[in-house]
Amino acid sequence: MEQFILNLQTFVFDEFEDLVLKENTKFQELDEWDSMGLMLLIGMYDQKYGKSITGELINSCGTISDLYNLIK
Amino acid sequence: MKILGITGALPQEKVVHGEDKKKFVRLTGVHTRFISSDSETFYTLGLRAAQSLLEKLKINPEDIGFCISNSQTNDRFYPNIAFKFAENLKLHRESMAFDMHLGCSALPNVLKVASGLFANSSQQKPYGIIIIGDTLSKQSLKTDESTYPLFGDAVTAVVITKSTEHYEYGNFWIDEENPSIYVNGLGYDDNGSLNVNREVAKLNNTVMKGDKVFEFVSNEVFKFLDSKNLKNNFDLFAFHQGNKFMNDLLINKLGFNKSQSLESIHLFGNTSCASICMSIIGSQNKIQLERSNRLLLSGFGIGLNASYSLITLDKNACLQIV
Repeated sequence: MEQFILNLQTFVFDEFEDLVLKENTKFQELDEWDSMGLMLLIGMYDQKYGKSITGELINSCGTISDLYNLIK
Repeated sequence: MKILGITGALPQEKVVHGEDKKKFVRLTGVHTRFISSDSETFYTLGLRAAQSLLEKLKINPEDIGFCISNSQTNDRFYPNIAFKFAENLKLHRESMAFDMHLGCSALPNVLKVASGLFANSSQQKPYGIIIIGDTLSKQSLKTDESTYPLFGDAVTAVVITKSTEHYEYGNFWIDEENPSIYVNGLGYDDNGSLNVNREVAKLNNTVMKGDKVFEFVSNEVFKFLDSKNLKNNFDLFAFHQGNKFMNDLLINKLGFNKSQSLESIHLFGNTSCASICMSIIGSQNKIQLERSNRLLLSGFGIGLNASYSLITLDKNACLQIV
């Protein structure tokens, strides 16, 4: 999980140094989350985990823990 | 069939994205783009490009057997705008002239149609001209922060001729129940469903579900191109310029060498069906023009549709922007 959060910070939220992400963070409620973040996240699943995760699936997740479960 | 020259016509107004669009620029790669005025249309830009190219190549319009124009932002729904191009380019009245209406995947498909015309014994003339491009800024809402800043306007002209060099084409499409890219008011309502009441539909609003297009490119387009064993069959490749992050991912997955990639999104934005041609022109410093070059061209997007061509760019081909 720690590595997953680190990847999120590197791939998706790299412009927001002060942003603290936790397992229970509701990422869709963050001001920093937008449609570009969604695309970056799909790319992260593909590049880092070799997984084809759809935007629909990501949008159905509530927390970062839910996002993490998609790689299992 | 081979390409003798490509000319791109750009509108006058150049837009440079500022610091407020830092993340957008990093993701999409769009640094600058060109926006058409009311008088700069698919037709006016296309005619400028075509006239200049024919002049440079010193081609007699009487030797052109066909004119194919392709745009999603045509000046008019009907009649066929290709007649107007043919008339003003002084083509023979018995030449063929017709419109096509494809999006980002257009160029390989249009080239395939052209190759079919050349293969027909009734086609005796040595040249064909293709005019291809879009002015999508006219059909996008300025308030749409994710779509409007992505598109740049450009129209290109391509002159082709019959030849014995290897030519190859492939294509696949998916007819989506709910389109990922569509225009409100031109047949679809807010939900992407067919709307028969055009009077009440909203005009000028291109809708693009970026994540859906991204999924299509990174999965379906990758599998399609990968299955064709294209890797060792070209000197350079030009993909449709939809989004830098998306294209880099596709190039990486395909195992292609980025140094062989002809790109233009940083210079002109996503120029829709003109983007492959604009990439060949915009990255011509990578092309050794003293010899002929084997090009892989691939377009993908609206439809959803993906296509590719393996085609030769002639030695000393004319590549210019006007």
